[in-house]
Amino acid sequence: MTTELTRFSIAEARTKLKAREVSAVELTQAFLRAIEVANPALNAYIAVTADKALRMAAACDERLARGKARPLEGIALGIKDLFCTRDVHSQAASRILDGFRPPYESTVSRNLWLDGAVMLGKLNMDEFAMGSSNETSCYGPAINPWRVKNRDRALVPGGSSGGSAAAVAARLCAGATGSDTGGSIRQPAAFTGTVGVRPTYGRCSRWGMIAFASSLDQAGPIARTVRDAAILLRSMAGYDEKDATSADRPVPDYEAALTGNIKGLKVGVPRQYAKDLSADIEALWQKGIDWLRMEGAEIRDVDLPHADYALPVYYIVAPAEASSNLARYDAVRYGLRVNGDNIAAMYENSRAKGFGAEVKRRILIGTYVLSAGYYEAYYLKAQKVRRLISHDFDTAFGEVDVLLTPSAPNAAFALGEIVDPMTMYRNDIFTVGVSLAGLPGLSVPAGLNDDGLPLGLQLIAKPFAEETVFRAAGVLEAAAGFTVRPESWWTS
Amino acid sequence: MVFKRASWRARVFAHLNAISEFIFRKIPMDIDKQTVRHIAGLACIAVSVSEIQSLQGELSTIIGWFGKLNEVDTSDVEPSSRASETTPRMREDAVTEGDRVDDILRNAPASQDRCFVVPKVME
Repeated sequence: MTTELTRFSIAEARTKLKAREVSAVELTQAFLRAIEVANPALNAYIAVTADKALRMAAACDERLARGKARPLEGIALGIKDLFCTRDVHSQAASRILDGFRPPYESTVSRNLWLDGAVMLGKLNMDEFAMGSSNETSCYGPAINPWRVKNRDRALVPGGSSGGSAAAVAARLCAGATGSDTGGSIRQPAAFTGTVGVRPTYGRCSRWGMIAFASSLDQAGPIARTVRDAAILLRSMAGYDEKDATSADRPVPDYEAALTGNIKGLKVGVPRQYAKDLSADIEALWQKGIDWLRMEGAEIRDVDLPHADYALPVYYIVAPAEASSNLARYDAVRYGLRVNGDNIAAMYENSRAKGFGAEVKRRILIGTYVLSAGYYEAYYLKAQKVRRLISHDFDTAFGEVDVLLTPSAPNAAFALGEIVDPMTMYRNDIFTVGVSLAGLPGLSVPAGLNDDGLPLGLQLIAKPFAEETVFRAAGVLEAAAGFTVRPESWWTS
Repeated sequence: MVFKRASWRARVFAHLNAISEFIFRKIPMDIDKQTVRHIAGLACIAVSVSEIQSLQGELSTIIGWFGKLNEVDTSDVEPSSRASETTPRMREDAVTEGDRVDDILRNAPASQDRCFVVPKVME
C-alpha cells in the first residue's frame, strides 16, 4: 500500500496533502522504503537522509493541519550531490571532496525547503558533472530503470544528472534537482522518460552549487510531468544577492503557462540538426512537428549556420573554466589530503588521487587551451565562435517563438559501451548550443524506440521565455501521451 | 578590398586576429609527452608514466578536433563569454558574513590555533 503512494505526481500529491487524504510523513516513508528496495540495484542515491526527511515531513504535517501549506509542502525531493546542503554529504561525486560537510545551504535547495519540500537525500552524478553517462562518479554509476525489451543488460541513465533522472523515473522521489552545463539535465531526462528543464542562465542562483563551468552552469528540475517541472522551477528560481549573475526579475507562475493552447505559435525546426540522425530519432522528431502543427502551431525551417561548431566550442570553454574552478582543490581547506615531501608534492598527490580520469582530462585540456601561446588560438577563438552561435539563435528567435529538436542523438546505451571520450562528447550535440547561448531548454519524453527505450524532444526559447517552453511542452506531452513506466525489475 | 574607417582599436584587434589565426594554423596538433608533463605540472596533478602515455593520445585527438573551428572566419568577431546580457545589480562593498573561522576550519584536513596546517614551505 505505501509504495503505491509514490505514484502520485507532485500536483496530485499537493491536492491530496491539502485535503489531508495522505500525510507528508506517510509519503516520505513510502519513498524511503522504495529507496531501500531499489537503491542497491539503481545506485541513484549516494546519501539518504532518512531522519532529516522524517523530521521535515512531520513539520510539514503540522503546517498542513493549520492550513498554512506552502507551495511544496510535504513534497519529497532528491538533491543532486552538486548542491551544497548544510551538514549533509556534498561531494559532487568526487573523492577530492571526501568528508566535506558544507556549513551552508545552496540557494536553490534553501528555496525548496522554504517552500515546504522534504529532502530524501543526495543523488548520484558524474564527478563534478563531467560526463554524459553517470559512469565517472566515484560512487560507481547510477543505473537506468529502463531496460531493452526482454534483456537484463544494465543501461546508463545519462549524465551528468543521472542519479536525479534515475530516481525520478523509478519513483524514488517526487522530483529532483539537476544541473545542466552542456546538457546534463536534458540528456538524462531523455534517457529515462522524464521531463528536464534547463532554465535561462541566471534564472536560478548558482550560489552553493559546486562549480564546473561558471558561464554555463544552471540549476533546473527533473520531474515526471511538465506540470511538476513547472511547479519545481518556480520554487527554485529567483534573484539572489549572493550570485551576481542571477537575474533580478520576478519569477512567473510557470504552471499558469500550461494553457494547452499553442494556436499561432511559431515553431522553428533547425535543419542543421538533421545531419546523420538515426531513423528512430528522425521519426520521433517528425512526429513532434506533426503534433505541434495539428494543435495549430506554424512550423518553419530555421537556419543555425554555426550549429556544427557548438560541440568543439563547448569542449574548449567548459574545460577552460573548469581548470580554473577546480584549482581550489588544494587539500588545505577541505577534502582529501595525500601528503608529499613538500607543499607542491602534497598538491600534486592529492589532486592525482582525488580526481578521476575524466576530470583530469578536462582540467588538462582547460589548462592547455589557456596556457601561454595557445590562449588566442583556442580559447579566444572559441569565445568568438560562441558569439556567432548565440547570434544564430538570436536571429532564429526574430522569426519563431520556439525551436523543436531532438534532445539526444540516441537512446540510453549500455554500461561500458562508450569508452572513447570523443564518442561520449557527441551525446551533447543537441544540447550544448543552448548552453553556450544561455537559453532555456526542456526535454519532454515523446515516445519509445524499437528497443522499448524512451526518447525525448527538446524545446528551446529565447532568454526568460520559459513560459513559452512550458506551454509548448505541455501540448507535446499531451499529444505524445507518454504514460509507459519502466518495469520495476529491481524489486525482484 | 574596401577598407571602412575603423578605429585604431578595431585595427589592432583585426591585426591580432590575423596573427592568432596564423598561429592556429601553424600549431602541430600532436601533443608530445613533454607537453603533457608540462600542463600536468601547471595543473598541479601528478601523472604516472602510463597516464602520460594514454593522455598524450587522448589530448592529441581532442585538441586536434578543436582545429575544426578554424573553418569559421572570426576576423570581425569580438569574443563573447555570453552567459547573460543583463547588467548585474550592484551592492555595497561591505562584509556581509564574517567571523566564521570555526565553520571554515571545520572541513580542513589539518588545522591548529585557528590556522590551516600545511607542510613546511620555507627552510
